[in-house]
Amino acid sequence: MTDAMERWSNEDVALVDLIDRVIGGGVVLTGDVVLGVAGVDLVYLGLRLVLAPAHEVEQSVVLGRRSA
Amino acid sequence: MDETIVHAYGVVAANEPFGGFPAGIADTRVWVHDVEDLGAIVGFLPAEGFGVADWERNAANVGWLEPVARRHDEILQYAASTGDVVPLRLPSLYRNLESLGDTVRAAGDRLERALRRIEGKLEWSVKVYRGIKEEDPPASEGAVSGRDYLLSRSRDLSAKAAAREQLADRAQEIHEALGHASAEYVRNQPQDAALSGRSEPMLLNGAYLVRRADQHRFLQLADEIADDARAMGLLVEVGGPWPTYNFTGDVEATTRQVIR
Repeated sequence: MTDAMERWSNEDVALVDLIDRVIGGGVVLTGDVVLGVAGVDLVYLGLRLVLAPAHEVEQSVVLGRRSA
Repeated sequence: MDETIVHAYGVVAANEPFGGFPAGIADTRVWVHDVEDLGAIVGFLPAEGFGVADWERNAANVGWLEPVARRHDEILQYAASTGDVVPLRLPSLYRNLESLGDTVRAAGDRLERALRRIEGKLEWSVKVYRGIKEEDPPASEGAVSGRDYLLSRSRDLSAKAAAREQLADRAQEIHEALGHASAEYVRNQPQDAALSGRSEPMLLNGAYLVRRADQHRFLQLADEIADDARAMGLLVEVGGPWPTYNFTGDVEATTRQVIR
């Protein structure tokens, strides 16, 4: 590993980064049991709302911003 | 045997030397299931606990979802350390291996294209934040009249706005400079401060598809950029390497980025 690679190597992957990629990215394959794309969107949106309080932000503030 | 469901992590080319996977979701075994010229990285999960109903029930339950998402990513990280893998988005459930096989066959052309697109490449993320230490314009000391005060206040504000604009332009320049060192690059919506837990505003949330052979060069460039940017009051954070989540060739993946 080079110095530059060490400096930036993945140690703690933040949940928000993980969710953005694992649920916000990647190939969608629709199979007979896979939740529909709308369902996936709901998962994604729902999680983004739920994640916020984990960072000690008042939920009402976040929810208010969403519905604005 | 209890009822199981198939979880697919990613897609690789068949007959590639993928193996020795660490334990997957719920500590289950992970292997490559060949489907013609492709291979799906799969595992059996208990249908009770990881089925569609569980997804619906736990979709917004971080306690349930986080370990699933982390294991999904870990398996893909492991695969990406061995060779080329197209990551699948969660949730990725199939009734059984036959059902998964049908799905992979039906999407065969698309998956082959996705594999070619990311061949020999990995993803890096670069985020740029505006430092919070933005010096507040000093309260105009010698302001004698209300008019003078307002004038100087408005000058301060427009100077502040100009400085912000300059930093936003710099973030775009950083994105393009890194993009030139990449095979492809994409700018995603900045993460909400509430979600990132960062008080600094995010000016750039970029993803870069970088050839494995060019990673050293890319990271050295990122290093130089980070050092230069710091002098301007910008914080640059680099993360990776990631499986190529942002470069799967899916229309859906692109549209998803605008959802906040």
